[in-house]
Amino acid sequence: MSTNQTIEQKIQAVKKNYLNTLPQKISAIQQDWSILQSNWSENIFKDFHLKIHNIVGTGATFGFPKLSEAAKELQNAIDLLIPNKEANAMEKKQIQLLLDNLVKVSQDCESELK
Amino acid sequence: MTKKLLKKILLAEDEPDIRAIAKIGLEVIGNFTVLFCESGQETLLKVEEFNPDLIVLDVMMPGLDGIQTYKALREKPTFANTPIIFMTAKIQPDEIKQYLTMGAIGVINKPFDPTKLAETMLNMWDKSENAEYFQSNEGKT
Repeated sequence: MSTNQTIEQKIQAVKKNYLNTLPQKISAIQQDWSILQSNWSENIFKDFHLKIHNIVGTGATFGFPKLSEAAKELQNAIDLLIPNKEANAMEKKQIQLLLDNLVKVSQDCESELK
Repeated sequence: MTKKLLKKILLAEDEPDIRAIAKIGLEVIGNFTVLFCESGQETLLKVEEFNPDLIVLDVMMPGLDGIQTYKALREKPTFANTPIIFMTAKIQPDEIKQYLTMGAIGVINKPFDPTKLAETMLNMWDKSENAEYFQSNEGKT
């Protein structure tokens, strides 16, 4: 087996692991958002932001550029929010739409595993 | 005078997926010796013992972020001039300028191509003025 094949196998293995854990990552983002909608908290907001930020950085690194793009759009919307201040109804609606899109894109990525 | 070879890299990154793919890019492809740290705090605890040639810091980490870790490292005399690269998924031209002005030798955008990671870091290392030089023994008797 060539070195290139070994490297490719290793990359495929971490990519598969990434896809396997993607539903939990997306679910954790949804849970944070669910909490934030009823009880805005700075700490939860920071976690929510960091989790989305991590998807921006990892998606395309693992071969899923659309996942990074969807997360980036969501991150950009979140970056417009005033720190420490609860999002208003319009902002929440916009974030929900972008989050729904991220969920859909992540499901498309997961379907590659099946 | 010959530039010191890049052998040891300390990479601080909170995201386990990025650490896993960077491990392939830097250890398997780049053949570097790499210490992976999960946080800025862990970096500061382990940096002296590992004594890296190059330090790579994720900008956005919980707890001590990349910038705070950078400043803390610069306060340590041993690492006052060690080449440092930032990694970020939130790359903006102003931010890149800020990191370079601070003294970083480069900024790596996330997402990145894992098969090119070692090459990218090596290029930044080669262009770095802070990378140590050593006196070649060639010609000495």
